[in-house]
Amino acid sequence: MNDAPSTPAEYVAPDPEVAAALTGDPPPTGWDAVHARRGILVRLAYRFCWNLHDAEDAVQNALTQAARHESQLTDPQRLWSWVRAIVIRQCHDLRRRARRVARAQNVLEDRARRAEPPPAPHVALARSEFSESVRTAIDRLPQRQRTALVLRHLEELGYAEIAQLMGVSESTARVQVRNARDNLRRILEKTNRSEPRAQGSVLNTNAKTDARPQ
Amino acid sequence: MKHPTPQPDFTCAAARDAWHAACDGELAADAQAALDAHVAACPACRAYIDDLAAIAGALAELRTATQRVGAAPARPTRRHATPWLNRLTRMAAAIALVLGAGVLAYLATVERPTAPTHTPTTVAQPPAPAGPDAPPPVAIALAGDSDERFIPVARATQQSNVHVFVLFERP
Repeated sequence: MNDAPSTPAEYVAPDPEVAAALTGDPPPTGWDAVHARRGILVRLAYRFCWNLHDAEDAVQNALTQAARHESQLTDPQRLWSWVRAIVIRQCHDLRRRARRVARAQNVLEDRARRAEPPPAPHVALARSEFSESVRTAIDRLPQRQRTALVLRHLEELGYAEIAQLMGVSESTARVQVRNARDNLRRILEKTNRSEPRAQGSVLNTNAKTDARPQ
Repeated sequence: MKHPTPQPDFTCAAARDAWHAACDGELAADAQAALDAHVAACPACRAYIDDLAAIAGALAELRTATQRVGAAPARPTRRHATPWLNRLTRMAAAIALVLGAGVLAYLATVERPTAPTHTPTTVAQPPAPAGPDAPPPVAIALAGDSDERFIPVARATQQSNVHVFVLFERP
C-alpha cells in the first residue's frame, strides 16, 4: 500500500460499494454483501425503532431468521430486499412487544423500552424541536403508513422498491405515503392546538428555528 | 397517473394531489404553474402546503440526523511509515520486560526475610508463689509474632498444673 490515505473521511462509509470503490476491491455479493451492509440494516432499523439497542436486536434477529429460512427465498437476486423486509418486520415485532409490556405493566411505552444509550460521537443526533415532535407523531401513525413514510422520506426509496418491500402494489404504496403525510399533519395539529401559530397554519413550526443547535 | 393537467377548474383536491406529486419530484412543469396559480389564490391550500412542506423539511432533517447510524467509526491507522521502527519498538519492549523480571528476582533473593521460628519460650514470669514446694509456674507464649489466642491457654495450664503441648504450624 502506498502513502495515499485509505479513507478520505474520518468515517468509514456504511455502504460496501462505496468502501469497495475506495479500496479498489470488487464489491461483495450474496450473503457477504448482506453482512458487509449490516450498518445499513442497523440504520434502517434505527429509523423505525429510534433506539440503538432495539435496532441492533432487530437486525440480529432478522439475520438469524433469514439464515434459518433461506429456503423460502426463491430468487437469490432478491436477497437484499428480502433481508430488509425481514428487518422491518422485526422492528414491528419489537414495537408490538414493547407495547404489550407497557400495557401489562401499566406504564408509558417509553418507560418500558430500554434506556437509549448515549449516542456514539460519530452519530450526529442534532434535531430541532419540531422534527422531534414529527418523530413522535410518526410513532402514532398506522403501521403501514408509518412503514411507507419512513421508507419514502428517511430511506428515500422509490415507490417501486417500497411496494416490493411492503408486498403491496405501487399505487397502494403511493396512497399510504400520501395518507401518512396528511395524518402527520392531523396528529401534529392535535398536539399543537394549544400553542400559538401562524395564521391559517395548523402547525407550530416556530420552534424549528429557535431550538436548532449551533 | 398522478400528473394532473392544468385545467380552468383546478380544484383544491387537485392542487393537493399536485403538491404530493411535486414532493415526490413527479410533477410536470405546466402542472407546477397551475399549482402555483391556485396556491396564490387559495389561503387554505397555502396553509396546507406550508404545513406539509414543514413536515417534509423535518423528515429530511431526521434523515440527515440518522445518516451516520450504523457507520463504524474509522480506526486511526497507527502503523508507522517505517516498518523497522515498529520492530525496534517491539524489541525495546521485550528487553524492558526481561530486565524488569531480572530486577524483581534479584530483589526477592536479597530481601527475603528469615523464616519465623516458633519456639515456645517462657515470658512474663508471674511472681513466684510463696512456699518452696509449690509447682513451678508455666507460661507458654510464642516467640516472634505471637497470637493472642494462645495466651489464655497458657494461663489455664499454669493454674491447673497440666502440661499441654500446643503444636501448630503458622500458615
